[in-house]
Parts: sequence; C-alpha cells; structure tokens
Amino acid sequence: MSMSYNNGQMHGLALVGTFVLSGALFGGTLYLTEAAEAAHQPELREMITIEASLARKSEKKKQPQKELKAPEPVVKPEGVSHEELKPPPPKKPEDKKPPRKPDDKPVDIHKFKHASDDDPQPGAAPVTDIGQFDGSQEGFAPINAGHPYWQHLVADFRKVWEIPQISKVTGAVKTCFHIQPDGKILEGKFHPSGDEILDDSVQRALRATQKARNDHPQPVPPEELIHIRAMVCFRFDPNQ
Amino acid sequence: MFSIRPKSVTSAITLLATWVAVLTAAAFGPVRTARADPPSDGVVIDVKGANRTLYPIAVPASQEGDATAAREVAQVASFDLSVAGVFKVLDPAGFLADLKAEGLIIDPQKWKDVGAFGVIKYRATASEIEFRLYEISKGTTSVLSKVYPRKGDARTIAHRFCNEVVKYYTGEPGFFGSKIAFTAKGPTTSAIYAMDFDGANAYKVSNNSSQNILPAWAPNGGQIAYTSFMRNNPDLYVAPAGGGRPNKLSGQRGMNTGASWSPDGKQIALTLSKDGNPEIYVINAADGSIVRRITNDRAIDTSPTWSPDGSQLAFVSDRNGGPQIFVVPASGGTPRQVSFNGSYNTTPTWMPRAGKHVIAYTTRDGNTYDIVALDLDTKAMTRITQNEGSNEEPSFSPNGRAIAFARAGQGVFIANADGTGKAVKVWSGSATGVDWGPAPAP
Repeated sequence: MSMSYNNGQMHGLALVGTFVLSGALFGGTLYLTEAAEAAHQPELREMITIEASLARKSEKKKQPQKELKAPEPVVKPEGVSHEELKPPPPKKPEDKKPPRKPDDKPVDIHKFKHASDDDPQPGAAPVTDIGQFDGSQEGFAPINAGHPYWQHLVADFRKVWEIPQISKVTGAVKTCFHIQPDGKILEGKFHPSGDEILDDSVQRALRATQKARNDHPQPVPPEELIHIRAMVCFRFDPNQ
Repeated sequence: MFSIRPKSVTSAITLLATWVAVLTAAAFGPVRTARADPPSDGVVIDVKGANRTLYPIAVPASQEGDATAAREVAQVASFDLSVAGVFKVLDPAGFLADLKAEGLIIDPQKWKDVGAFGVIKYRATASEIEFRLYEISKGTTSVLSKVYPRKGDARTIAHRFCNEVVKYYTGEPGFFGSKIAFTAKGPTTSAIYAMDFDGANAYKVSNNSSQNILPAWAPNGGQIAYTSFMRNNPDLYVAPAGGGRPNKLSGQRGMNTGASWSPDGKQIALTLSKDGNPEIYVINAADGSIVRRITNDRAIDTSPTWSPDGSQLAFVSDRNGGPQIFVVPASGGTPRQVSFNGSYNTTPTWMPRAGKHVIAYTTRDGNTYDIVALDLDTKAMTRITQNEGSNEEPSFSPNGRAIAFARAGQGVFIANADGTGKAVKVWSGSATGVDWGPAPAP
C-alpha cells in the first residue's frame, strides 16, 4: 500500500518536524550546559591557596583590641514595653513553700540584728569622717552625692590633676579657700602632705582650676550660698 | 531637787543679765567671725583619683658653649626620653624661661607654668659636657648632676646621661646606646645590618651577595649569629658584631636557622632539619656541637627563644593545627601551648625583665600581622600594634620597656612595651628579622 501526500500536507508535516527538532536541540543544549557547569573543576592555577587551619569550620574569634575610647555605658532594660498593644506577661504562679517540718523551730531574728547608725554606739561619741554629709563640723558628703555645682567643681579639679605614673606618692592633701557668690575662687590655705610631688601636683591643679573658674565664673546657686560663708575645703587623695 | 534661790532682786537681775550675755555671745559669735578665720573649715569635699600620666620633662637646647654639640645633645636626649616609655618630652616651642639667663639653673615657676615636672639642663664645652636634672617640686636644687669628658661623641654622652635619668626615676638601666640588628631585604639578596637603637650609624655586618637572615646578638654584644645561604645550604654563621669574616658554627644538612643565644652565652638554640623535619636543638656556642634535642614531633618546630633565666624555651609549632607558641623546659620535656588567640602566632621573644614572664609575638589579625605581648602568669594580653600596617618579628629592649619590630615595606620601628603611644620609625626600608642587642656598657 502506498501513501501519498499533497503539497499542503507536506508543508504541514515539515513545520511540525521543524518544531520537534528545534525543541529537542534546545532542551538538550540546556541540559548539557547545566550539567557541564556542575561538573566543571578549576584548574590548579585558578585555585587560591589557603592554609589547612583556615579550612576548619570554626567560629571567628576577634583578636584583642587596643582600648581607644571609654567603654560604652551599659543600657539597662526599661521596665515598660514600647509596644502598646503587647499584652502583659502572664503572672507566674507563686512557688509553694514546702510544709514546715515539725523539728523546724522559729528563728529568733533579734540575735542576728545588725547595729545601725541610729542605735546607741558603744564607747565614746561617734567620730565623723571627713566628707560625711551629716552637717558635722568637718564637712559634708562626698561631692558626687551632693549638689551639681560641687560635682562640676570636683570634675574640673580631676580634669587637670595629673601625677606622673612613675612618681610614687603617698598621703592626701587638704586645701581650703573662699568661693565668692559670683563663683570666683580666692586664695586660701594649703595643708601640705609632706610628699613634694603630691603637693606640687595639687597646687598645679588648684592653680589651673582657679584660673579657669576666675576667667569664666560660675555663680554659686542660691541654695548653696550657705556653704560658702566659711572656707570650702577639698581633700585630694591620689588613689581611687 | 536642784534650784536657784536668789538672795535679793539685784542678785537675780545680775544673774539673768549674765546668762543673757553668755547666750548672745554663743549664738552670734561664730557667724560674725566665720568669714575671717573660721574655727573649722566648713565643707570638706573629697577629690579622689589623680590622672596618672607620662612624666612631663623638658629638654631645652643649651644656649651656651659648643652650639653644634648643644643641638645634637638636645636632639638625642629628646628622642631617647620620648621612647623610654615613661616620659613625655615637652615641645620647646612653648617654653617660657629665658634659657640664656638661666644657664644651668632653673626658675621653677617658669617650668611649672609649661607643665614640666622635670627639666634637663646641660652645657657643652670643648673638653666636657655637664648635665643637671631638676625636679620642679624640689625647687632650684638639681637632683642629678654629671660631668662627662668629651672622649666620645656628643650623642654617646647624651645617651649615657639619659640612661642615668631613666635609672634615677625607675631604678632600671636605660637602653640608650644599645644596638639593633636586622635583615635588610634587597631585590635579590638580603644582608645583615646593625645600627644604634635610634637608627643612627647603620652598618653592614654580612658581606656577601647571598641571602643572609635572622640575626641574633650574643649576650655580651660582641658577636652576631645569622643564617646565610652563601654556600647554598642555610648554615649558621657567627660574625663579629662590628662586621668581619664570619665563622660557620653549624652546617648540618638542611636548615640551620633561627638562632637564639642562651643568657650565659654558652649555648645556642636553633632549628635543625638534618633528619628531614624541622626540630629544636641546643648546640654549643663555641664549636656548634649538638648538646641536646628539645623537640621530637612530626610537626614543624621553629623560632626558639630563651627565657631570661635560661630555664625555658619558647618556640613555634603547628602540632595542634596552625602555628602557635609553645613553652618547654630548656633541658627538654613536654611542650605546653601558651598562645590561644587567633590561628596564626609566630616569632616569639621573651621579655628580659627579672620576675616577669612575658612573651611578645606576631599574630595574624584579619589580613595583617600585629605584635602582642602575653603575660604567662596573668594571661593578660597587651596589644602593641593595631591598624598601623603589617608588623612582625618583635624584639624587646634590654630593659623590657620597649619593643622593636619590622613593619612590612616600611622599616624598623620601636614602641612602648606596655602598648601605649605610637610606634616610632628608626630605619626606613624593607626589613625583617629584628633583634635588639644587649644593654650598653655604663
């Protein structure tokens, strides 16, 4: 049996054949390219030489760094959430205390009471150290617990008070001077410690602070004027 | 019951007036006198913790005598004290004192005003140089005074006085006048050089057209050991420190490298690979004979360095992976790893200070190399260099207060061993293998 096609049928078959062949060629090329890429290995000269130690999968450890600036202040977590719609955390059930054993006797806590400052002190009357904020004759609180005016003055002293590291200094220096209501510092009394370098360093700090404060006076706040009726004294202790 | 019974009205009035007077005086007396001279000083405020700084010292150039020598002394002394690790040399531009009028004495207030705690004065003549050290807190009396006859050059004399100054303040000898040896790299060869620690008077120690590397000063300062390829094999040679014909000390097959003299100068620790693998050995410094083998491991062991008391050796080994610093008894034993930072630590050197157990070494941090110092007792690590190029092969000054090292492509630098301050370049060029020599003779 013989089959015969007319001209139109022949053109149709040729068109279909062309599509099939093109598709097969395109698909084959795509497949071979991907396979070839995956199978490709770089030649030795293209490879980067690394040490075997680096090839280990390990956590990157940072080398110790020089301290170039003051450490960042620790930010404490706030007690209130920034998310307004966030529901409060569920309340934890209170821990149940174990039942008391019959042989547990109640403890007499008075035996363990620590004496407080309000309790009567044994022996002589209490002696207040310099720097206590109790209105005693010798003075008031360490200034970091006091009025910002005094805090700033102490900060000014500390900024300019320098002692060479190789100089071994001992003791402390006390110096007193008048402060005018407008903030200017007048000459005062200097109680040497006997350590020449320490005394010298404090005198330098005093002089520098006095100059700075007298050039740019910072008036004493009205509520602190009571303290400048007498001389204001500073005790310089080189140790923290 | 106690009671007062006045005998008459007059007596009662008199008593009342007396009490009123006493109470009035008690109440108003202190207020009236408070400003003038109070019985107590009132407020007392604590100021705690002074800033501890380098010692500010002034070295003004002398205005009298030999002007050339005077300039040189000021220059040398200023540099010496600035790298001593304890001083801050003040800028002469700010000096207020009339130097010509002052001469060898000082006006303390003028120096206090510029922040000086100490002042060095001197006068150079044709026959001698006279030095004085003043401490401002002690007034116009000098605390140190020396007169040197001008036998040597002015810079040598300046070094000597600066050593005295360091000793006065720290109790330790200074390192001024000591020398540094290093390898200067050329395009095809490398040579051993030595120079004053401040970079002056550099000279060539090796004299051949081959590769010469890893110099090591003998403890007496008279010899330098180094490895040379002059006869193809990397053999160990010892040459006079001033330069001259070297003698082959160790010519074992393979490497004879990384020499380190024992503190008594009788032995040398080095790396030998005569059996194929690089191992640490100790040889006799007189004839090169092997005294003992220190390591025996399949890993590569190199770069030995003696502890100051001669009881231990530090070296580099990759037995636990990357190269790390290990310490082993000098008599032999089991090495223990001491460096754990990063994955690459090499070229250890031991701080030569009595009572201190500190090793400085090269560490890789990212793409660069830096110098760190590790205290073996406290495990505290001090970073000597950071963000200043690639730094390698440290070597301590004789008193342990400074460190010399090579910065890739830039030269030889010295820095404070406590990590403070900036490193100072003392030699420009391509250098490696830095080794700081012993302290100068007093």
